[in-house]
Amino acid sequence: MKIIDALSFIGQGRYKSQSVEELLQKMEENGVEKALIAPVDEYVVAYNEEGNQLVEEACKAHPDRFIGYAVANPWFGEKAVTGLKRALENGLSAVYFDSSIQGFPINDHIVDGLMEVCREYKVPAYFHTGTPSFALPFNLHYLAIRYPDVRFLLGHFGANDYVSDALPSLYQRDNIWLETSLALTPAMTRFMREIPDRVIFGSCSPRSEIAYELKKLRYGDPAPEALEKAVAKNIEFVLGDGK
Amino acid sequence: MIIDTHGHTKDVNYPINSTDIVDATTMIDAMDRFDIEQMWISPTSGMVNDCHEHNKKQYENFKKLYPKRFVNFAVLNPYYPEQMKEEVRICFEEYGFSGIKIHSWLQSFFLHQPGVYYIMEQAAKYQVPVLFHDGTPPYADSLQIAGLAERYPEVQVILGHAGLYDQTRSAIEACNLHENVWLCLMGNTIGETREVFRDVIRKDHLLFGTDYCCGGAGRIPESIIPNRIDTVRFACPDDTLYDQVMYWNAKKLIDV
Repeated sequence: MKIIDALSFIGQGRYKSQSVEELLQKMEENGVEKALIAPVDEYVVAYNEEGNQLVEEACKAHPDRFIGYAVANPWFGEKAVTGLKRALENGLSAVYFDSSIQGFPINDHIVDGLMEVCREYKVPAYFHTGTPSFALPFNLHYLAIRYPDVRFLLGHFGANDYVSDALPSLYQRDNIWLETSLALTPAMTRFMREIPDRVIFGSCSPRSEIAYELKKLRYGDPAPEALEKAVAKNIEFVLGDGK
Repeated sequence: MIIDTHGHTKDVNYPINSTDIVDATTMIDAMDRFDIEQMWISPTSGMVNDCHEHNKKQYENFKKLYPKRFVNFAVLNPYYPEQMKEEVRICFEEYGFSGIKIHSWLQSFFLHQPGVYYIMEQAAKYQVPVLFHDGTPPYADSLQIAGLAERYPEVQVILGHAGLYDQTRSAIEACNLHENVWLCLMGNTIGETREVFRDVIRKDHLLFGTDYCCGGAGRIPESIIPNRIDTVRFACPDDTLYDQVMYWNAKKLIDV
């Protein structure tokens, strides 16, 4: 079965470190054909341009294995907008946000300029969720209302204490997909059963491990079609301009 | 062999209108399949309904029937101070419970107030540990609980999620600073669990838990158990420490 990991990180950071080679080895060991990669935290928060270059280089070196997230912190204003456009023109395919460390509530209007770029370049936007009060599922729900033509990945199902909000946050929103990493098997099992078109596998490696996250996904014995959608088809749909 | 220091009984009305009940034999069956010798339990339904009724059910259906398999924690409600005093007496003098469980997020109270200080004083009197849900602001921030541990150094305080996803580093700091703080590895990511193993000085204060079979967004079924075991397996640097955390440290804290 084809597997695409919708979230992994590369780079050397204070709390997360993973080289391209280490990630490729883990992908190989776990049958992961492709991974969407973002740079580690420092690049997400402060050194956006360097982070984007790091991801661009990895994608150019391994075009069959990696799909790149660009990063941009909206506090940098116009510089962030320009940098994001440049990264997307250089071949990156989506945008990764972690507003809990970047310092803004997901639905704050500070992010509007970057959302306009996502809309213009037709690329999806991933948001970490699960961290109060900047990064919760309903913050993303309201951003998704403002940008109905942008496709959003809701990271980690709201993580632990906000998993109850993950499904309700999809209400009347056809532009949000739920990414599985750090979530628990019971939620994965339930969502693959109830909303199989909206579940997308991610590992969040190296914060978590690909083998562990795949095991959780499979443990609940999901229907083969639902699993196939979760590990590949849904993210292909989201990356393919939603068509 | 494993001691699961953070489990729950599952009864009616949590979540709202739930009719789902998990009995002791079902839980023991799951425990046996995952090599769990003993589980420390508290009634989730008692946190949001009548705690007296649910403590009593736990006593009748778990402690009396399977005294070696379940270690019992009482749920108390500081919003009813007079009833709480009587409930403390019943749970520790009649039922022989072994600890107190506080889930201030679900129970909706601030931790630093006289009603909670009373609970801590009773924990000191009966020499039982207090297991807290932690990692969820505003009612259950890990450092709010650490502040209670500092105030009551004679009470053993367990941070039931070791900071969950976002407060692990605060939980580590609390454990390194206060001799009476214990961390239950349950709910952290593999990455943060690795940080716990690396940075906690007092590794004999690390415990393991699963949260089986708490209510949450619905009953948490047994698939939670291998998730939690795998997290520690992936993160733990050696087998000796793994055994210590999964079993022996708990035995040292409560030996039933």
